[in-house]
Amino acid sequence: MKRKVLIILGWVCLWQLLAAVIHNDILMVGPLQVLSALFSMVRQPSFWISIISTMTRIIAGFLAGTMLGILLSWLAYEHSLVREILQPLMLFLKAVPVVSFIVLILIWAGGKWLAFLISMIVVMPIVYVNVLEGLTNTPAGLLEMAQVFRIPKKTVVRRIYSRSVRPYLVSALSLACGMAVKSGIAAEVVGQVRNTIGNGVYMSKVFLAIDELFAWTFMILVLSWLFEKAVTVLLEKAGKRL
Amino acid sequence: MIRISHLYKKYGQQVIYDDFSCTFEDGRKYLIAGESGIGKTTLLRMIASLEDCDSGSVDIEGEKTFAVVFQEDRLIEDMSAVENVRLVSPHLSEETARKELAELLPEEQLDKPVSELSGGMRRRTALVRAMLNDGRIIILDEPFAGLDEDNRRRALAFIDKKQNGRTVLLCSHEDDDLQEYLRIDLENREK
Repeated sequence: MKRKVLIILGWVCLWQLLAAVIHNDILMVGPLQVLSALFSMVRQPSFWISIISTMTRIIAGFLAGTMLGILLSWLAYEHSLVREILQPLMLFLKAVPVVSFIVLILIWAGGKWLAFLISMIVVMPIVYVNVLEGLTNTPAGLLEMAQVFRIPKKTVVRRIYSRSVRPYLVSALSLACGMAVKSGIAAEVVGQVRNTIGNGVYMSKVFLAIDELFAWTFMILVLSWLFEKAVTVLLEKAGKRL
Repeated sequence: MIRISHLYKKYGQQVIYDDFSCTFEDGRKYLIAGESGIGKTTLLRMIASLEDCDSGSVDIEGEKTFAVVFQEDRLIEDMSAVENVRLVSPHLSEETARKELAELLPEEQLDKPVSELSGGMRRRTALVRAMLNDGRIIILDEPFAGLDEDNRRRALAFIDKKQNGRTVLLCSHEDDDLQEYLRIDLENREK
């Protein structure tokens, strides 16, 4: 732990040194300037409004994508025809660059729904593929045992499928958390949606305020980390109740 | 009554059953005997509706409910022996499940995840799970595998105690202590 802190401190010192060498606030700022920018930003209500507005949409999109991914993976597991129908769609969603969806959604639905829809589109195929993998890898012997002993479907889902799917879902969601935050904010930058983190990032570019850009980036990292932690804790709690 | 008529079953090119017929009467105990690979498990699986025959029929009169000890234990690894038993028989109280399991397993092992139990203890858990279930036909595929003589004797007594007039179909390599079981010898069938 001590070593880890020292390594991080080393990087921060290197960053400060680099900023001192470049000595140009438009190109590079040091950690102290970033902290100062962050302190002045957190005092403004618009900063918190932006965070709440962005994170609400991203979390809502994340939840919708997760639920849709789970639902579709279950349908695909139960019916091979559904799996075949969904396969090209999932390949399409994974292959098409996020920015193409951003532009399309901007045209179709406008900026209000952008972060929500983009994070849903990014999360859904990740959850779908992983949960389907977990369902497919459920031990056939246990399912046969459940069939023979006439265990109700609800109990089979809770006691057998969930145990098989859980590790796949945990790894999918921890990956999807970061992806949802990153792509949701990227969408806001492109769409210039007002009162959002993405708009804050965009404005810092317009006004060449690199200290604010770094401060926003730092906040995005913190929010992404907190989001992932919250999801992991919730999944652990849910796992213990099964 | 379980009536098997003109059963035909093959895997790939290997014919396992060819025009095989037999009958199992209700409430009796049967030993299905024969060498490894002769088709004992296949027969039990077809009776339990887990596998289809290629032709012929398996007819069961009355309620088609089964309680099975599979060749593998098929327990849920992170659940305890008590939880595994109650999973398939939710009507049992925890106290009853614990009491019955304690007849074959040490009490201090009952709350551990079954993944931490020895092979023999897991086998006995699978046996208790089947015998406490209310399936009308009890299918036991090598239920004594991995058990020492003393535990085998106790397991056999447990089967007798919990049979309650139900049909028992058991296959086992060793049959010295299974004299009271009606023997269906697959070695001496035509196929």
